[in-house]
Order: sequence, then structure tokens, then C-alpha cells
Amino acid sequence: MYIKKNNFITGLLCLTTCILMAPSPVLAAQNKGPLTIQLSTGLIVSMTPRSGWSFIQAELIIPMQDAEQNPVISRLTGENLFDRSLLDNDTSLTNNLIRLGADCHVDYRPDEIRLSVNFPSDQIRDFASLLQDIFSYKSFSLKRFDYSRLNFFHRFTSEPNWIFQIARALAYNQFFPGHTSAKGPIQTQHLEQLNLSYIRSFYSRIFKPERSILILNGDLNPHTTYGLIEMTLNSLRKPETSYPPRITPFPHPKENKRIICLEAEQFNQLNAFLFNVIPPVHELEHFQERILHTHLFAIPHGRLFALTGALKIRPINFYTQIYHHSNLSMMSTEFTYTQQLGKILDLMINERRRILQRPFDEREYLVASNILLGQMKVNTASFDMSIDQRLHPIVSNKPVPFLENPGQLLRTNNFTRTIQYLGRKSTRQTTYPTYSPELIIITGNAAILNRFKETLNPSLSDQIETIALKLE
Amino acid sequence: MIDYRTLADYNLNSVLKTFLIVFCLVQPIWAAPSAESTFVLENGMRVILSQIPERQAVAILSYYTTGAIEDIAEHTGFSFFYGSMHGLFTTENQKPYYSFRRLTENGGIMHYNIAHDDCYFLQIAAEEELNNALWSESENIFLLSPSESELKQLKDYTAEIARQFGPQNILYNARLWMFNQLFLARPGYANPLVGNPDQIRSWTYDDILKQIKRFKDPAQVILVVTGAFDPSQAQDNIQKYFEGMGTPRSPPQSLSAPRANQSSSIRKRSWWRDGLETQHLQIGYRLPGLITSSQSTEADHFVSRAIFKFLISPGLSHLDHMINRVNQLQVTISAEITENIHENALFISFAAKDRNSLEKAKFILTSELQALSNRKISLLQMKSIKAALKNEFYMKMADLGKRAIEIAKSFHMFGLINPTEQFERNIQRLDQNSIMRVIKKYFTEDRQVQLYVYKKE
Repeated sequence: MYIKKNNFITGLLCLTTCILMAPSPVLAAQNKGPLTIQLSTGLIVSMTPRSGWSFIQAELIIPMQDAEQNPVISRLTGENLFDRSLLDNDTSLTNNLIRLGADCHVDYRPDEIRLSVNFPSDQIRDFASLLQDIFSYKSFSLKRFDYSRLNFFHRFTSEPNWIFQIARALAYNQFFPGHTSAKGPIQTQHLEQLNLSYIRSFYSRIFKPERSILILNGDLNPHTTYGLIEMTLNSLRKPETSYPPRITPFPHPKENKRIICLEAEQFNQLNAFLFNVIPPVHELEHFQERILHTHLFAIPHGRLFALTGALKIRPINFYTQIYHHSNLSMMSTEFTYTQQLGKILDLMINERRRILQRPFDEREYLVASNILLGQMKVNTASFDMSIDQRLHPIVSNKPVPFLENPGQLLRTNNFTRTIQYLGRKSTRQTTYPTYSPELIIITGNAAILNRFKETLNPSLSDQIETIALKLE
Repeated sequence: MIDYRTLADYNLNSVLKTFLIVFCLVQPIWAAPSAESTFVLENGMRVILSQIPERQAVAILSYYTTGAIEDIAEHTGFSFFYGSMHGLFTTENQKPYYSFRRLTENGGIMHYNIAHDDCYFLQIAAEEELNNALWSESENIFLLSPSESELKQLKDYTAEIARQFGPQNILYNARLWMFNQLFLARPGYANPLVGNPDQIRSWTYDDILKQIKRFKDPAQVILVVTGAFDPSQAQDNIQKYFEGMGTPRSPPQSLSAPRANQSSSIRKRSWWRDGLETQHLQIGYRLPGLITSSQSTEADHFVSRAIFKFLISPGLSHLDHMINRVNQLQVTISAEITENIHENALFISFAAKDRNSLEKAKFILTSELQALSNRKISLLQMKSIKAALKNEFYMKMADLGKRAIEIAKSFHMFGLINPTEQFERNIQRLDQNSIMRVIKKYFTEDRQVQLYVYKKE
């Protein structure tokens, strides 16, 4: 009996201790990974609770359809919906955006529209109403449409990265002709082809919950958030037919041109972009490509930085962005602060070619891998970790182990495997035989481009094709 | 049969053992959530640790409680020069310093900022690099002694930056003139951060070494470490690298003293200049400092920021809506609000092709402020302002680098290591009445300065 009593009191103490010391169920829930659910309206919602945040980062992804080939239509439709500066009176949609603090941004990508909204976590109800407004919008007006069309290029060229957006559209157009992303850069004639009924028709075809994906990240309880969004969107019409997949895979990229000069009056400075198609982020080969890229472009440890220093053609800087798709990734590198672009491009092309013939040594591999691994970890310092990375497992239905645990990359990959990949790449025997193309896009007005071409190595200037754009 | 015993009769030893084992097992989970802790080293350096275990990176911030306002007259712009010394590594042809190489070799990034009241140097590194980052930060703070040739290159570099902001930069000079009229209590806030190019070139090697000493005083450094790390190990390493370093400095030589006559400001002026494409009007309002003698005035700066958000911030942009959409003008609006300790200004700039549009824009601004001082803004507007302020603050707190800066500022100004408390108190107090009150109090003609910068015909 004594033993029984002692056990009872010990157990009671243990239980009390656990209750007092253990984290609350809410905290426990916050440590779980993303929860992905499809609502009855067909909208896919992926929610990741983040402890210590008091706001929610939301991204609504609306993929394009193959049939639509006017590159202006998605932007003009989005602006008529979301851009408050076009409106005389606020609509229910813009009122909801304002209520949430109006911290929103829309990225009109070649293959999709992405609306990013950040809002305080206690306003999830207002966000659900915003979603409902987005999918049931009826406030298009001719006056607003005319105004948006009239000032279109003024607004577009006021965006900080508008030149990059044009170059990016051209790159997708060159790599994937016939694909939904291949609409090409925006030009004046595209704007002239549009009227309000096109916009309405585009909206009703594209802005559908069953074609969209919502990513929520922050201070949220997945179960109540799911319930709230489901309840709010419940009044929307349910999909009657089964829709084609939201995201269509990309075809194998075409490799035909090496350098394109994009000429427009409005490009009053010289810009250069390198676009590469690389394997998708769930593959080890993706990271092997990035190790190669780091080896060339890292500052101050990269090969190009060292060479430009030796040749005294600095200053130089590179800015890299990666767009992840279900079966490939697009990497873009922008050359900034470059004064001797011709020489630097020549150097870069030669180095990229050279590395396939005579790959780097083990020490260089270790330096590049270490930088890449460190960068992946340092990226977790920012709240704005790429949504692309979180979206990828949803669209490709494949986990991205190296992004979730960068340390695993060094354990899985090694120098020999990287060299083997480069060998396969140089002889075109990779799993992705055509994932090697690159395209250099140079932008400037006629005078700037002429001056630039004069500085180019003749072997390069022969490869250049010039495309003139009209943007006014 | 029940054995009646008192508690003393039980085998307390085994009960306590079990309790302790369970406590030890559970305690680490209990201790894990991010909690800030602070301690002071023997040399006077203050340290704040803020652990966020789920990240794989760590931010190391050295926050100096001295800034450009303490630059003496012959060394105006020295704080900026000192800041560039940390950024020297990225200038053309400059051999990178080891600390920078070491940081970037492991994917780390570096950032610095110089302001009038303070300056900071921030490193963000992978979690396992904390020890190296702390070591190199200690080197940078206390042992930085560049060679004469390095300093010459740096002088050329900063003098070139100062030249770009020189007399030919009309709008930059217009802004400086405005700040001269607006900052009456502390005219040092109007000093240009970058200094004068000729003066920078004239600094001698010994001058510079003497001035650098100002930044080696450990008592004016607040070190903030935030992210994924083991607090006890971090504390040991901080003691190892920072304890016993640095030399306390003598009192500041030239703290910008309050101006004797504070009502001598010019309220309106016009300039005619060559080389402008558009006509400009700059309007400034004098606002209270972040730290004042009364608590109510301290909160006024927060309300002023709320008004700034409402009028100017993208998205809400009430002023743009009224000027360009409702009144169909074509005026480019830009604005800034300063974040100084003692005195602040809100500064609105209009640019348009014709003077008439500028006058109309000014009239609309005055009318809007008049209306806002007499009637409450709508509940929707109030909710949107609060949401915008919350988004801005909470996003900063979710980013390791920005979080470290917020913590250091909050600790320096208000003695709080958790800036969220202060923010939430301010946001709770913010209402329609406080907006009306602050507009009535500060957005008045006697606190306003106007400068027209016209294109010379």
C-alpha cells in the first residue's frame, strides 16, 4: 500500500510538472510543417504556422492558360482589379486591401500572376473577404479601363525592375516557344488590341479558385484558417467540370540564339542579363549547377571577380534570381555597375565554356559549395524566404530535401559527383539533355547599343540579333 | 488496510529524484522559446541575446550610440567615413579584408548604416559561423588600424561620394537647406552625413587615427546577437572576444548644442536654378523627438508616423489619391520622416511640370490637413493605418537583421529589450482623436517651412 501511495504522489507530481513545463498545444502545433488542403471551391491552400510572427504573409498564385497570347492582358486585368490609383471610388476589393494595410504587390510573370499581401494576423477574416472579392469581381468600368490603358506605359516604366521584366519575358519566349509563358515582351501594339470585353473575358477564364493556389505563412492556426476561408468562399460557384492541371510542365527549352540586343527609346542605360535553364530544385543536379554558378559569379571569391580584378575591368556586381517551375528552374543573372560590359561578357562566355572542358579543382569546389550552403542558411534570416521554394512541392508533388535541410546537400553531393555531372553536361548526356541553354539579353537605346557593339569581340558581335521594341 | 502516514513518512528522496528527472527532461523545451537576455561586460559594453531557434542563421549587430551629430566641425562626415571603412572591402581595387572574406566565404552578408544619432554594422552568417563572426566583429570594433595607403584610397572614395552630393545636386542641397530651417533645437541634424570633399581630402593620417578612437569606446556599443545559437556558449565567446577590449573615450567634443534663438527660422523661400527638368516645392513640418521630457510628446512622434503612413505610404497614399486622382493633377509626390532622438521633421516634396500644379498641390495638402484637424478620419482609414504600421513593425521583427536593429534602438532609447511592448502600447493608444490632436499641434504654419525650387527660364 505504501508503494501504491508513493507511486500515486510521484505520478501526480510528474503530471503537474509536465503540465507546467510542457509547451502549450498551440505552440506544439506551430512547430509542424505546412498543411495543404483543397477547398470545396477547388482552391488549394498551403498553410505554414510560424511561431513568433504576428502577421501573415500570403501569396495567391493564378496560373495563365495556353490560349492567351497577349502579354499585356494579365497586367491590365490585374491593375483594373488591384491598383487603387486607377479608381475614382474604392471598390469592395480595394477597401479590403486598404483595411489590411495595403501592403501588397502583384508580380505579372510570364506564366502566372502572383499577388502578395502581408497583413496582421488578427485580420484573417478581412483577408478571406478579399479572396472572395478577387474571385467574384464585378466592378469593371469603361472609364477605369480607358484610364489604365492611357497611362499604361507610364506606370509600367515607373516600376523599379521594368527592364528586367521585359528581358525575362523575352527569355521565356525564346526558350519555350508555344508554351503559355512564351508571350514575349509587352509592346504598344499589344495594348492597342485590347478592349474592356477582352479583359472581362480573361478575368472570368483565369481568376478561378479551382485554378489557383494560396500560400499562407505566419501566425495562423491551420484548422481555423482553413475553416474560415472555406466558409467565406463557400458562396462562390463550385467547379462543374474537372479542370486541366493548374500548372502545365515546360517543354524542353530551345537553344537557337546566344545574344539578343533589345532596343527601345526608353532604355536609357545599358543593362545585361544572363538567363539559364537548369534542372528543377528537387534534383541534385540543380545544386550542382548552382555550385558552378557560385564558382563563377560569387563576390569576392568567384572566378569572374578575380579575373576582372586582374584585367582591371571592375567595378562589377551580379544579382541572381531563380524561378522554380515543376520540371525546371530559370536562373537569371543581372550584371550591375559594369562599365566594360563587352569585355566582361566575353570573359564570362569563355569561362563558362572553359569550365566544361577543364572543370574546377577540389579546393574550388569546396569554396563554392561552402558559399552556396552558407547562403541557403543565411536566407533563413529573412522572413521573405522564397515562396517559390515552398510552392514547388505542391506543383511538382515532389519534396525539396536540400532546401529544407541545406546541410544534407554537402552530405549527398561531393566533388566527384559534380565533376561527373559537368562531364555529362559537356557531352550532353545529362538526365536533362537540353537543360544547358543560356541566353544573354542586352538592353539599351539605339545609340547606347551601337556604342556597345563597337566594343565587342568580333566573334561575339556576329552572334547578336537585335530586336526593336515600341513602348509608348 | 490503509496505511495512514504523514507526508514526512514517505520516501521523499525517490519522489524528489523523479521530480528532478522529469524537470530536467522537460525544462529544455520550456526554455526554448525565444527570450531576450542582457548583460554588461566589465569594459562597459552592453550585450543583448535574442534566440530564435528555428532559423539556421544568426545576426550580429554592433550598434554605436554615437553618430554624425558628434562629428566636429573640421571632421564633418567622419562617421560616414568610418562606416565606409567597414564597407571598404567592396570598393574598386581594394584588397578585401580577411573578416569580409571569411564572412562571404560562408555565404554571409554585411550591411552598415550611419545616421545622426547612431550607426550600426550588421553581419548575417550561417549559425555555425557565430564564433568567427563575433571574433571578426571584435577585431573591427577595437583593432581596426588601416594603413596610410588604404586610408588614402578610402578618402578618395568618400570624397567622390561627397562630391556627388555637392553643390551641383540641387535637390539634395534644397533638402539640406530645409533641414537647417527645421532643426532648430539641434542644428547638428542638418549636417550633411557625407561631409565636404575638399575637407575629407585634407584629413591627415594622424587626424583619422585620432578620430577613430571615438568609435573604440566599448561603453557606447550595444552588441545584439539574434537567431539560432546556444546562449551560454555565445555568452562565453562574447566574453572571450570583447572583455577587456577598447578604451573609454573622453566626453564628446562637440555635441550639437541647442540653438539659442529657436524662432529664427525662415518660413518660405524660392530658388531659381539651371539644370532642372521640373518645378519643385518642398514643405517641411517640425516634429518632436523620439525621446522628450514628457511621455505624451514621445507618443506624438508615433502618431506623426501614422499620419505619414496615411498620407504618403504606397497603397494608402491619401495625398496622391486626392492630388492626382480626384483633382486630376500630374504631380510626383515623395516624402520622408526622420527618426532622430531629439527633434524630427516630416518632409514632403512635390514635382510638376508647371508651377500652377505645385500651388494646387500645396492647397490640397493644406486643406486636407485642415480637414483632418477638424474631423475624425473614418474607422476604415484608422484600421488601415494601424494595419500598415503593424505590418511594417512585425515584418521587421520577423527578419533577423532588422529585428536586431529594432532591439538595439529600443534598448538605447527606452531601456527595453523587447520593442514589441512599446510598439503595442503605442498602437493601442493610437486613435482618431490622437491623429486630430497631433495635426492641430504640429502641422501648423509656425512649424512649417516651404522652399520652391524653380527651373530657371
